[in-house]
Amino acid sequence: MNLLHHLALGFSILADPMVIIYSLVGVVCGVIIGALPGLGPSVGIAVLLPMCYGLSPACALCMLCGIYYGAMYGGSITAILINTPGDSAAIMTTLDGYPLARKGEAGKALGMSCLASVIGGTVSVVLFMTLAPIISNFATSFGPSEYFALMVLGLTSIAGMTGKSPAKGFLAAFLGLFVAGIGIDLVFGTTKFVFGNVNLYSGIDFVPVAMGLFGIAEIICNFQDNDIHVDKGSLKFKKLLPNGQEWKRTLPHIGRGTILGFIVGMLPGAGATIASFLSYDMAKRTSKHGKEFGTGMIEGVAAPECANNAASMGAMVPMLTLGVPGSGATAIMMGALMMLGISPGPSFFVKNAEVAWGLVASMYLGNIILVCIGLGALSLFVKILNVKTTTLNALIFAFILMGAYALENSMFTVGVTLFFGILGYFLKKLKVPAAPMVLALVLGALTETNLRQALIIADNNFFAVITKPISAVIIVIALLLAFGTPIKNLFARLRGGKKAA
Amino acid sequence: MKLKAKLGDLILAALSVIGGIVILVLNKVQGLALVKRNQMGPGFFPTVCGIAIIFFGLLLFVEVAAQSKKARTDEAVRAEQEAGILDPKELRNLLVFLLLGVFVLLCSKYLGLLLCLGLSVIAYLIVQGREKWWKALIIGVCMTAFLYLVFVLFLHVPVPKGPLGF
Repeated sequence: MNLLHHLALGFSILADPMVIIYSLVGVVCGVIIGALPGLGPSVGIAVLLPMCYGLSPACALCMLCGIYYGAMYGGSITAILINTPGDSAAIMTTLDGYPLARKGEAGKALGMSCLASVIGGTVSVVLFMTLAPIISNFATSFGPSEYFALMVLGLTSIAGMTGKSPAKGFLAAFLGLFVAGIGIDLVFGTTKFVFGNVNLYSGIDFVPVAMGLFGIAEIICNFQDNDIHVDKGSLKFKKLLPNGQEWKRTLPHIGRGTILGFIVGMLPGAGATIASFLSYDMAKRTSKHGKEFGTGMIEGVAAPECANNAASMGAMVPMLTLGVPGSGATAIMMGALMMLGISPGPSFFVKNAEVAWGLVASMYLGNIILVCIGLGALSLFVKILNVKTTTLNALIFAFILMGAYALENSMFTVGVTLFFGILGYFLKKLKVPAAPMVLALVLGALTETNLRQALIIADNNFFAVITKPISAVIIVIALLLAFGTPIKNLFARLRGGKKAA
Repeated sequence: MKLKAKLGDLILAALSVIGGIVILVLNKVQGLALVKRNQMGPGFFPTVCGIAIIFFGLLLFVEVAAQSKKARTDEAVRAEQEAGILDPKELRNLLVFLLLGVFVLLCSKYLGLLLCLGLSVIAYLIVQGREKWWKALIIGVCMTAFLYLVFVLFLHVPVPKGPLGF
C-alpha cells in the first residue's frame, strides 16, 4: 500500500508537462547518441549535462534517465544495420541482429530489440522500486566508517574490473582522486595544488572532465561515416512487430535475461556489457535452437537487449540507495545529482521522496516514450545516422564547448574540457579506462570527508575504522573484487607449476 | 608515426612514476602536512595518491615485462604488443580540434563565444569534412542559432558578446 502511495506521488510529478517534454528530449537524444558508433550512454549524459542547469531536479533527472535508456537501445540500431555496435553493451546484439538484417529482416530485429529493451526496462523498474527502499532502510544505520568502506568498494570494483590491465584502471582511479583533491581544503582552509590560480580554488568540477574524457576524446577518434542502406519496406510498422510464434520463442529468454541483467547491473563494476554477454550465453544454452545462434535468431537479439536495459536500471540501485555508482554512466549521473543539490544515498528516498519517486515514475514514462519513438520514428533515426560523421563531430564539439562555458560562465572550464579531452584521447589509445577516473572524481571529496569523520570518531585509529563489522565485510568484498582475478591467476600458476614438477 | 602498444605502455608507466614523484615533491613544497592538529592533514590524500600512482606505474612495468615474456611464445600477445596505437588520421583530427579549441579560448573575448563556435564549426566542416563552403556556412549558422536559442534565450547563459552583438 505504501509502495502504491509513493508511486502515486511519483506520477503526480509527471503531471508537469515539462517533465514529459524533458523525458522525451532525453530519450530522443539518447537514441541518437547511443546509435552513433563509439558514443555510449556516458558520452550522451556527459555532453548533455550542461542542459540540466537551471532545470528542476525532476526535469533534469528525467532527462538524464531518458538519455541513459535511450542510449542503451540506440546502440542496437547500428549493431543490427551495419554490424557496428553503438556501444559495448550492444556487441552481443550484432551476432544475430546483423545476420537477420542481411536476410532482409532488419525491421523485425529492430522491433524486437526495442520491445525487449522496453520489457526489460519496465520489469526492472518494478524490481528497482521494490528493492531500493529496502536497501535504503538497511543503509540508514551506516556511519562515516561504513560510507568510507562503500566508497572504497565503488572505486576498487570499477578500477579492478575495467580492461585487461588492473594497473591501468587503478592508475586512472588515483589520478581522478588526485584531481578531486585540488582546491581549498575544507577543514584547514589550505590551498592544494592551486599555484595561485583563482579558478582552481573551488576545485575541478567533474562535469568538464567528463565532457572532455567522454565527449571530446570520442569525437577525435570517431570519423568513419556510417553507410546505412535499409529497404524502406522492412521498416514499416507492421514489419517491426514480432508474430505470436516469435513472442512464444523469445519471452522466456526476455524474462530470464531481465532478471539476470538487473542483478548483474547492481554489482559495482559489472555493467550492461557483461549482463548482455551473460544473457546471450544463457539464451544460447537454454534455447532449443542453441546451435543456430549466430545465424540470425530472434532470441539472440531479444536476450542481450532486455539484459542491457535491465542492467542500466539495476545500476541505479547502488547509486541511489548507497551513493556508490557502479559504472561510468551512473557515476556521471550521481555527479549530476550532486550538482543539483541532491545527495544520493540511504536518505535519498526519505529526504527527496518527491524526486526519488518521480524518477521511478519517469522510468515508466521513459519506457513508454522509448517504445513509441523506437517503433514510430525508426526511419527518422536511420536518416540521422546517415548524416556525415564529421558534421556530427563539429556539432558535438561546439555543443560541448558551449556547455562547458555554461557550467560556470567561464572560459576556464572550456580550457579544462579541452585539456581533459586531449588527455582522454591519449588515455584511450593507451587503453586506460576513463570511467574509474570520473568515478574517483565524483567520489573523491566524499571519500575524504567520510574518512576524516570516521577517523575523528575512532580517535584516529584507522584499524578501528576498517574493522567495524559492516565496514570490514565491505572492505573484504572490495579487495576480492579488485584483486580476486590476479590472486586466482597466481594460484592457478602455482598449481600449474606443481603439476609440472 | 608508429607508436607500438608496448612502447606506449612503457611511456605511460614511466610518466606515472615521474608524475607520482612530482605530486609528492609538490606536496612537500606546498607544506601540506600529512597530519595536522592530530587529524588527517591536507597533504594526506595527495600523498596517498602520489604513492599509489608510483606503485601502479611500477606495476605497469611488471605487466609489460610479463607480457613481453609471454609474447615470445604467444603470437597473439606479440601482435598485440607490436600493434601501432596512433592513427595519423586521428592525430590530424586531434590537431584540428586542438587548434579550433585554442581559437575559441583566445578569440571569444573579442569576437564573442557564439561567433567563434560558429566559425570553428565552419572551419572543421571545410577542413575535415571536405564540405563545400556554402554548405558549411549554412550548417555553421544553423548551429550558432541553435546554441543561441538553447543557451542564451532558454538557459539565460551570459555569453561573451562580440562585434555582432552575440
